[in-house]
Amino acid sequence: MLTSKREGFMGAVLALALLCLLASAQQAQATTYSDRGSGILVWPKIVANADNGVDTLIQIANIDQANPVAAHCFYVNANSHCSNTGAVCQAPGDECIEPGGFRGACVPDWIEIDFNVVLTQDQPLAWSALGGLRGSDLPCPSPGGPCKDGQSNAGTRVPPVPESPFIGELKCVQVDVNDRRPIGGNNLVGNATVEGVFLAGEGYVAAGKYNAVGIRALAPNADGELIIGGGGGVAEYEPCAEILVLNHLFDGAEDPISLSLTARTELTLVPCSEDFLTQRLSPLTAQFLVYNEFEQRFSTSRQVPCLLDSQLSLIDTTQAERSIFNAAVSGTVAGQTRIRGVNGGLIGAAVLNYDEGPLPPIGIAAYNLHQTADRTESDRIRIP
Amino acid sequence: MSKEKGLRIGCAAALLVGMALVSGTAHARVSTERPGSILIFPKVTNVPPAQDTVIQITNTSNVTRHARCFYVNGATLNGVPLWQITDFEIWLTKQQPTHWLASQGRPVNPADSIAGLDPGAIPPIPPGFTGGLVCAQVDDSGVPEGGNSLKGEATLGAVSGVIGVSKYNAVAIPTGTAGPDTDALTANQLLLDDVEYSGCPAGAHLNFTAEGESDDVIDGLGNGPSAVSTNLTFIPCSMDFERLIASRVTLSIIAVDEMEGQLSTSTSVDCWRQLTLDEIGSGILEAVNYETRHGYVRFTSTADPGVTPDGVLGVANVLRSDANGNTATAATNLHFLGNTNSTNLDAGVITLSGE
Repeated sequence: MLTSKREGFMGAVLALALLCLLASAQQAQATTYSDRGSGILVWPKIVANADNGVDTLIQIANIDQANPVAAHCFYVNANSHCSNTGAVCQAPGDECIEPGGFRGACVPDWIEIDFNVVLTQDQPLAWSALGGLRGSDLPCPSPGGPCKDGQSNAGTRVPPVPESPFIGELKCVQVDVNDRRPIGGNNLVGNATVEGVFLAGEGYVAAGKYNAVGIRALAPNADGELIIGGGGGVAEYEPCAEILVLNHLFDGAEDPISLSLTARTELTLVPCSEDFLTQRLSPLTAQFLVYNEFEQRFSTSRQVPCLLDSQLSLIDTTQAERSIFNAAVSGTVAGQTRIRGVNGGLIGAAVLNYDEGPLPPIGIAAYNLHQTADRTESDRIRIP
Repeated sequence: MSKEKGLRIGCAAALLVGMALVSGTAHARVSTERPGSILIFPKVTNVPPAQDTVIQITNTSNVTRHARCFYVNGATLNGVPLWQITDFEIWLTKQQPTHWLASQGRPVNPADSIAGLDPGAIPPIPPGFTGGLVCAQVDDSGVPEGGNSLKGEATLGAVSGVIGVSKYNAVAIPTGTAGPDTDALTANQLLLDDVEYSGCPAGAHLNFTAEGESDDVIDGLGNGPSAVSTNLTFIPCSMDFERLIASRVTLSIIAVDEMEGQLSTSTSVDCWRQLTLDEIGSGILEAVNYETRHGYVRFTSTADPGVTPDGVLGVANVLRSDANGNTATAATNLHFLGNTNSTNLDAGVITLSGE
């Protein structure tokens, strides 16, 4: 009798094991989306520089065919600033010299600016980062306008980015139209087009477009803490990816098409977690596994404070020609880089530049990263 | 209770609960950001000197993977699609990335100037080629297999004069709840039914600027008046490489402007098609006819009542020109319509040719 019970118990254990196996198989896919409607949209790379002819066109649409939606959006200004003059600087190595010759340090910064966008049913909107979107430019500035069912864009005011030059991120969270609390719905889709008008030579334009990365809502509880992934039933949004996968041409590789230009890829990474309430930074580490076409592997890692925007071959060194991302070092034209956030999830986008001599690039092409596997721990966004 | 009975009851319980779990949980869907078992590049061109294409494919798994690939020449002759197929095989070692230029292909020649492990003999496509590329993951004997190991990108660029480089991600179709059929007689029929492979999405969204409308950024930076033109490429989900039968899909198109104004029309996709926005519905999306500068368009496949339509996959390439005639292109993947598997179409079939 005891033996029979034990065997029955063993059967149940086997059942449980099979169940766990099935469950784990189901979880083996990442669940942020750059190709479907979502409850949170992330544009990892927004750049603008009025003096150098660079700006970003941002497009967003409500795919709900019946109801308006509102989005609470946050520009994250990731510019570094001089400690003495407050001027925008590029990197810690930059010189910050006052007229009197006093030197300051270039200090990384993180400032958020938030605003609301109200989209009527099925409505698309677009604005440039330098221009923003004001009342008279809105298609339906107030109820009673041309939009149907009394819907309007009232409450929308998109500020221009706060500085030029600007490098930063845009995050938008779908919220209730009336009380601006996070809700489900997954009705937002978006794109960004990074554009440049360059006057070098005879002058030319360049443009690269990527889709905003979406984080799909499960069941937000309408408070200010958005829990992205994680076990125990706490998740309000689907998880961020465990690993981002970037296919790229190695920096310095000859463009296979023109055979005269050289490739240079810029990678932008932002954390899934962000605290817009206290503006407290929790830097995380990105680990990079780099494979060339011989299947040979290199690796490096780099801290991501609030935003990492770097030429690939400057991620692991300050001398690009010595980088593992340099074609001469890797030995092949194409490569695959797998990126893992060590203590938090990452979201990213890439821009392929074709250079002919010194900057700026002759042609640019932006694209979304691939991803595999879910993060098992939660990421969190806190909003005011 | 015997040991056998205990195990039988346990396995039955596991199966039942497992089936409930499978049916209640979403499996992977067609995606432009995750690896899959079928890769579709909707747009590959070799039109010298205007455009050539760099193909990149990566094996994201830790074992060697094989794929059968098919170039689909969608060019038309007197309005009739050529539907010319060229197929080849690639082998990728674990985590191996590879690339080739579509017009040149990639021979197996360790001594050539293209460094890296050659993935197989990849033929060049002829000048004038406008079409797509489809790759299906197979085992080492050529039988389709799951695994969801492949990802890819295409870079469209000009051969001379630079101008206009753009890049998009290949559309990846992952395996469905059961995975590919292994029956020798039917294995080459890849059913996009959510069981063997994920069903095709019900349609696509595109955020666009009205055809011929000016570009906010270029004008804002002082090089206006500018103009924007959007080129769309579609390829049906169903393809018959065995009998070379071109699929035909009717697309319903609903465009919404910034004031919610709706315009609708339809068009068809035979085998492969590219068109600019002004070719849709007698120019309803042209700036002169369109109410606002920006818009949003929804493409859905349609069929006769009671018939499940076949899906289409696509990519957009946006051309911008400034006042001086300088141009730039930017490709983008379309957003898929439908958030759940229940909105997938399950009628697609890709039939590989016999070996």
